[in-house]
Amino acid sequence: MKQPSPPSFAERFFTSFCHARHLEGLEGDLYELFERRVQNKGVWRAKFFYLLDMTTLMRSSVAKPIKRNRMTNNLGMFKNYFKTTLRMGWKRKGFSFINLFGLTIGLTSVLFITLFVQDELSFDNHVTDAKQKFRIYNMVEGDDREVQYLPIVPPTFSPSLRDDFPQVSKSGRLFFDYGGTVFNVGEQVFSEKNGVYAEPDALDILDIEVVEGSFSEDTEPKSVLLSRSLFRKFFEDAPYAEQTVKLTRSTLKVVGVFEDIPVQSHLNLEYILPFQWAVQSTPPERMQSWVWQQFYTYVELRPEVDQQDFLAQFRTYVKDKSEAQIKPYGFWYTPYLQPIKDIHLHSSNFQWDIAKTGSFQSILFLFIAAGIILLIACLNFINLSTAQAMKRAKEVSVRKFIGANRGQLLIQYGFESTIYTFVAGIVSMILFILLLTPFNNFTGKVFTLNELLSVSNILLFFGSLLFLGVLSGWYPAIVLTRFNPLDALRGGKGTKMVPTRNLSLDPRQLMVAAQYILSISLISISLIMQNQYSFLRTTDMGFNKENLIWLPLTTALENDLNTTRESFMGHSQVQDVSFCYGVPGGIVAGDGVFLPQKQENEFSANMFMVDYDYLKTMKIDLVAGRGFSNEFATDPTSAFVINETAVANFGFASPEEALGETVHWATWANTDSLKKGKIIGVVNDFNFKSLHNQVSSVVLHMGESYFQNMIIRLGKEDPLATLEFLEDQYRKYEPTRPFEPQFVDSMFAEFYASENKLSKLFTLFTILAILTATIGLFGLVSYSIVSRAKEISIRKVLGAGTKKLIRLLVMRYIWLVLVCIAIAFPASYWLANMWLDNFAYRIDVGPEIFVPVAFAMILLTLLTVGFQAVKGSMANPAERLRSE
Amino acid sequence: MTMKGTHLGEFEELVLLTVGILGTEAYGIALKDDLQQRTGRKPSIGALHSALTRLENKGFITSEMEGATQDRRGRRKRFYQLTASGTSSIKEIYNQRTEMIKLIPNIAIQ
Repeated sequence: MKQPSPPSFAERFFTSFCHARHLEGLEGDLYELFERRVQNKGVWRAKFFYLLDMTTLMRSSVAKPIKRNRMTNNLGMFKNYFKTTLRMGWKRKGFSFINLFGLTIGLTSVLFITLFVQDELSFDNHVTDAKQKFRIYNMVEGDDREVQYLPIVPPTFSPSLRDDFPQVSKSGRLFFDYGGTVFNVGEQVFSEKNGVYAEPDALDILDIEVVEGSFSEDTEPKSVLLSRSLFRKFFEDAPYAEQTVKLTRSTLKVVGVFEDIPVQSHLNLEYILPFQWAVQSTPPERMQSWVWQQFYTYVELRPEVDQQDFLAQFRTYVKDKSEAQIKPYGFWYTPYLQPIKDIHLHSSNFQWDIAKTGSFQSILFLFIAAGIILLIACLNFINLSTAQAMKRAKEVSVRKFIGANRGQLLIQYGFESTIYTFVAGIVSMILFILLLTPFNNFTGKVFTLNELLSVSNILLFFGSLLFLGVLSGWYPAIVLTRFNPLDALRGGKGTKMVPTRNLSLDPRQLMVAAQYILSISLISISLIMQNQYSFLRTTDMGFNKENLIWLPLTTALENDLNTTRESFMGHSQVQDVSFCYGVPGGIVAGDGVFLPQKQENEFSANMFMVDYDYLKTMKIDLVAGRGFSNEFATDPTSAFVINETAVANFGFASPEEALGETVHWATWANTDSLKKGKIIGVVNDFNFKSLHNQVSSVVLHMGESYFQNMIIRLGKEDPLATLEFLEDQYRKYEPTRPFEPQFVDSMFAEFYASENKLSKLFTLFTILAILTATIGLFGLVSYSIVSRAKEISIRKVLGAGTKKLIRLLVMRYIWLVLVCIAIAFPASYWLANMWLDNFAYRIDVGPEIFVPVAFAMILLTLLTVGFQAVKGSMANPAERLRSE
Repeated sequence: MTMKGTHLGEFEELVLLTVGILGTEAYGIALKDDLQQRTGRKPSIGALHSALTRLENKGFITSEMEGATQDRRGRRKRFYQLTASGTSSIKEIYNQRTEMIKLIPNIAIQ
């Protein structure tokens, strides 16, 4: 018969629970009782009592300690690691400094860039249901024109979407208030620029909240909605009530106030006018046009709608409707949906956009630059740590003999590098806080510490520190722990990391090479960027943009243009005054003209309405024919001047051939009436947009009734006094209106403002990267020369001259630099070309960039290595050799 | 190990005395049986073990593993033994009690 035994699960449990010290005796006692009970009371009751006895033993005096021993051991080890790190760090101050310096710079850069990028990426996050909201843009193509992307679409898009597409829940249009509006509030005059004519649905889609008053389809046209801050600016602290504001020609009722639009919104709107108003002042047939592209259009789709399906349907629909109308114009378009959150970062190639646009590419560039700095810092750490491995070989060996296994050593060195990253992390946090204000000033953003100190940001930061620590710790750890402890203690082979003399694939050299390649590429690219920007600043625009100012024309000023001109001309430093519609650097009208002899199609062209003095004032040169002149009575009514691009686009072989050709232009006042005339002159191409764009066809003609601007050419001397004079004159006409002259060159500078900032930031990062890489190299070389001290001394004793020694020490680094240059140059050439392709007018990248960079890098290496080499080879060999 | 004094609880005292009584035969089950026999109590094996551990920590008894037998499936027994301080503490207890009892009036002790 099988012997009865206690429940096996209970036995197993007790074994796992009971402290080893008590286990045997207690188990024995339990069995003994069990056996006795089996005899006396039977198996089942014995089992029951066994369990009962066991439960009485469930007490802390019997139980195993909860991993207490192992925990304390590990903590102790970490304490020891910490102490070792501090001691080693203190002992090798130079090494620690280089590492901390590099890591701190890298981390600080990454912090700032991350902040910047996070901000850029968070645009329009306040918009609800953003996934269903889109802006519509058109890709416009034509027979002989380059592809354009326009965020403005025909007026007919929105009504069609609303009425004929069940997928669309809302759709609304915005029409930009070009030129801004001047508000008269009581005695005060405010000139405001950020306004639109809007449909209520568009406001809904954009989540613009009307907090006072109301705004609907029925709001009467002559009204205005003000942003909360603009209302405060106009009426100070007065509570909201229906107010009126005066414009030059009319009076507007303030019908409401909307909540200020968040800074991180692609639109910056201060006032909103009823869309009906814009419609009223437009000929009705134009609002039915499928050609006239002028309206920012937003749609909201119903949930669950398949975008691709919807877009395909809409394209077919648009094609059907527009084909007949658009055909004579020689172009066609394809609509696209742009998710509302993409507008800020993915609109950089759009024309006529009023959205605040950033560039995804720039952000990417910055991110890569910061990453490179961090990478270089890590490589420094890895390099220097492995270079110094020999010094620690003894420590490692002793640890191994005492019983540390490889895993523990790896943890130790990983821990050590993590401490370095954490120290650097804390320092860079402090730096970050100190530098936040200058950074805000530079980027024009308003970052506050509060919004940055979110839990996720902090976790992310410390997480990255840990990652960085492990990343830069693992390779040194592997090298350090690879030693055979016996050899290491004996000081034998395999422990000395003496650099090889030739260029071989030593991992440390590879890392130095990587640093060099990255730095050289960064320098080249940032130099190319700077050259491009200075090219943009100084390139010939086809007109002279220096000392040219621009003023909006007001009713009082345009009352009698001749008198106005006379009064402004009354100063020796005012050279020319001209009135016009269309100023380079400002908004220029796009339109079209017919050339009856050429074809029936309309040619698209930018329209400039000018006076006799325009070409003279702008200093635009004539290529053929003549400019407008008051000697010809017919010039105001029937003369056109075109530019060289127009000559080519309209199909003339030469400027001379274009002279005398007939041009028809549908006037804006009444589209049925044509202005008919002849081409009297051809001017050279002048750039009136940013140099991102090619010059397009331009038609200039006289048209006093369209004038909106006044441009003034100043002399070179004493601009302040001249401006004062102009202001005095201006006051005679407009006593209260603000005098806001704009310099045309600064308007052009604004086109490149964001890119300029980018290139400056990029340069800054380049300098930091080179600095980090250089001090890393310095540390490495100084170490390698110290470790070769004996070799150098022996060479010296045997008769090597100082010069020869220096050459020996320096040459391998020069070789390294040359190889790196050979790799870095093609790479940066390729990258820079990709970037330059964004510009219609760009520099060519040639040796004038690369040769100086190459020389500079070689020189830098010579200095870094040379200093150490000279020091090493000048030392007295007797002293060196005596040391052992 | 620091202890909060070395005084004995009532049950501990009984266990200590039993260890003394059983001499070289004092191990878990024997102690349990003897206690039951003399005092009528049925101590659980857990309570007994915990008292023994405490006594051992206080230094009144020591223990040793010995004597594997068949009915214990090869497990040895943990035998407890009085230490010098255990013996002297028994004496001390005895003297103290006697002194105190003597001082109670109306109890005649021969």
